[in-house]
Amino acid sequence: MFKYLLIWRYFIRKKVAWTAVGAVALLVMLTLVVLSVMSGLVSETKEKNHRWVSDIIISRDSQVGFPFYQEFIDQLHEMPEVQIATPTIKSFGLLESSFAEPMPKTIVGIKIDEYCKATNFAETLYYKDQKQPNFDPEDKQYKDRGFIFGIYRSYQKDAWQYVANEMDITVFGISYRGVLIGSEAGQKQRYWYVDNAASGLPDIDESYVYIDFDMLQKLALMDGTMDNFPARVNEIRVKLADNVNIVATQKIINEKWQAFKQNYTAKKYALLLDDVTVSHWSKSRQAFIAPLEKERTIMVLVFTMMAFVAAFIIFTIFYMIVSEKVKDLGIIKSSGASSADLASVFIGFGLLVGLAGSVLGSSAGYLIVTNVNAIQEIVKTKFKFELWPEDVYAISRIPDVVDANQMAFIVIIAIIVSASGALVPAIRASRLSVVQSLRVD
Amino acid sequence: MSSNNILQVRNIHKTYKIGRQDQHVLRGVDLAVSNGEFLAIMGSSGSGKSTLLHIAGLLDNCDKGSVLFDNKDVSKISSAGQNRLRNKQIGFVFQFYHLLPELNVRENIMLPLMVGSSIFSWPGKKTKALKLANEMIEAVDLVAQATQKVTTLSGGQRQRTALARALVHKPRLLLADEPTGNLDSEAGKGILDLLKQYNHMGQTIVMVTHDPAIAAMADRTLHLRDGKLVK
Ligand SMILES: Nc1ncnc2c1ncn2[C@@H]1O[C@H](COP(=O)(O)OP(=O)(O)O)[C@@H](O)[C@H]1O
Ligand SMILES: [Mg+2]
Repeated sequence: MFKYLLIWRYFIRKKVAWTAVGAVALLVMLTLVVLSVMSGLVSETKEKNHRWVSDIIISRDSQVGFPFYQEFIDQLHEMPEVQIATPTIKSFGLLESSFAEPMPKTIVGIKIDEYCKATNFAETLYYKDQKQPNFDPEDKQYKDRGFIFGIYRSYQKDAWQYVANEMDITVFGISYRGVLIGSEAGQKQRYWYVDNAASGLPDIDESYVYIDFDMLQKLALMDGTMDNFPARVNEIRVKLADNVNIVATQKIINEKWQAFKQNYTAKKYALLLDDVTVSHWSKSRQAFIAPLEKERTIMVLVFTMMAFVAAFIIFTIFYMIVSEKVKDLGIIKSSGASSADLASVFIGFGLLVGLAGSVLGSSAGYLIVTNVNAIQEIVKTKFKFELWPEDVYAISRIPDVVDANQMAFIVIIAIIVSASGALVPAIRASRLSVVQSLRVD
Repeated sequence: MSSNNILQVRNIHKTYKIGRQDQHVLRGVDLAVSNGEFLAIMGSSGSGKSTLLHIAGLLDNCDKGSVLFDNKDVSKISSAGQNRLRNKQIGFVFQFYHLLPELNVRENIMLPLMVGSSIFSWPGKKTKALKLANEMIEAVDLVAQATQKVTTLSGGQRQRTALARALVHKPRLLLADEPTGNLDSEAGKGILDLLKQYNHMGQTIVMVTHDPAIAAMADRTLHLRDGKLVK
């Protein structure tokens, strides 16, 4: 029973132990903040990308595109796993008005009803807030001739000012052989501004302008009338039914595609079908997700190293305390305590330090995480410094949620680290020749 | 030897290594302490008195020989058994008090009782422990200082605290290593009076001293000379 009294008294009286508590608290706090925010960023970014892509994307990395998409979509729709599959066209183009310079853009043709079912597109529209998104301008005679303008809201909030109500879109026709067809100056057509789209993905929002699928297919001369070739698209987006395993289904669809393209072995078709890829969403957006994940891994490594530093600090402090307390150990031993009792005093002390540090650190960390946006705002205005810049992390809010499991994990690690920092000195204490200490004063 | 001996020490040898040199401090010490006896062991400084007392109290090991407690060889028993013996049957008083600075007077006195109790059995034992401790506090005249930090006490008060701690669990054997060696004569007399008083009540005491005047208070005096005990 003396152990608990002594642990408590050492804890209260030994100011140097508070240094150890401080070290543990600081470590727990920093780890909790960084891990919470980084994990939040990673999962938010993944989520955003996932919802933008839909589940699976079948695409060819060329503006020429690939034919027979409708036949394959029909096959996909026969699969119970598939909720909807929809084609899109992606074409380099220009957006211009009489009062502004031409803007280079990626013109994207979508079947808006299907596209809204496959992706979160409808939710990203924010200007007109239409229930049933469409490309119809207010002036009914221009039905289907609307365009939706992508805006990255974090730093492009005012971009709509450069968008006129009526604008000309120019795209360039490329034949299935990859040569320019149609007018050398491109095909130009007038469109009407109907809405803004903000997916929160900077590379997308900055450059995408959406128009109707059929309009773009014709305008880009991909409908096959000009080069006497089956109509082509650049992508098929596939949304799977709920609770379907995405990776497994991606494999099935890929096999289906490999079989499908055997139906078209003529060289001019095979050339275009051969390098079509079937990827799941995270693969297709890997370039944007991987760096964040790498960053999180590095953070975890950095903090693992810091944990070692903390363990070393605790070890040093305990070593000091044990050396100073050798005589106490002799006294206690002469009263009949066992070596294990003596060791457990110090291990218990380590646990208490770890526990106190964890409670302090995790409370502080929790407060910081849950108020991180307010704090960043203050830091931004006072010091002109952003720890998590919006444009880099594609966020408008820093994630401010603490995961209970993560917190428990950090706390347990911190307590283990503290106790093990005390372990070596504790073992030393239990092995000491106590008579020696009792001889001198 | 009669079975009335509480402690017997047989042919104890102890050698310390200092650098390459061996110092043969105890060279075959024999000792028998009978129940209720007040024995003084005298010897010059460095003659090995403390070493002998530590070995007899199972705080230190000897190179050769055995220690019998109640006619039972306890020098070879498990360390748990030795711990229990120290906790229940033996009390120590040292020259330099050796109190725990983090605990107050009463807590220091209760130490053997707390060591002998687990956290679970403590609530059941606490009342009795407090009663025993308070009795000792009264006996050594520290009622006013009971909750003071031990670092605020005078030397005499500290040694009385140490004596109370050594006796609180009513050990059968009290081992005192120059208990007055660090005190002025008045404070020393206070301690000696207490020892005498407890001895009258039946407490067995082995006291180490190098002062003949103090040794004279004991029933019997032995001398440690050249590593052996002689009359
Ligand atoms: N741990 C040790 N290492 C080496 N020598 C020691 C040790 N402990 C005691 N001694 C030596 O043993 C001798 C006896 O010491 P001690 O028992 O303390 O004598 P006393 O108590 O009679 O003064 C002394 O010469 C002392 O220097
Ligand atoms: Mg001595």
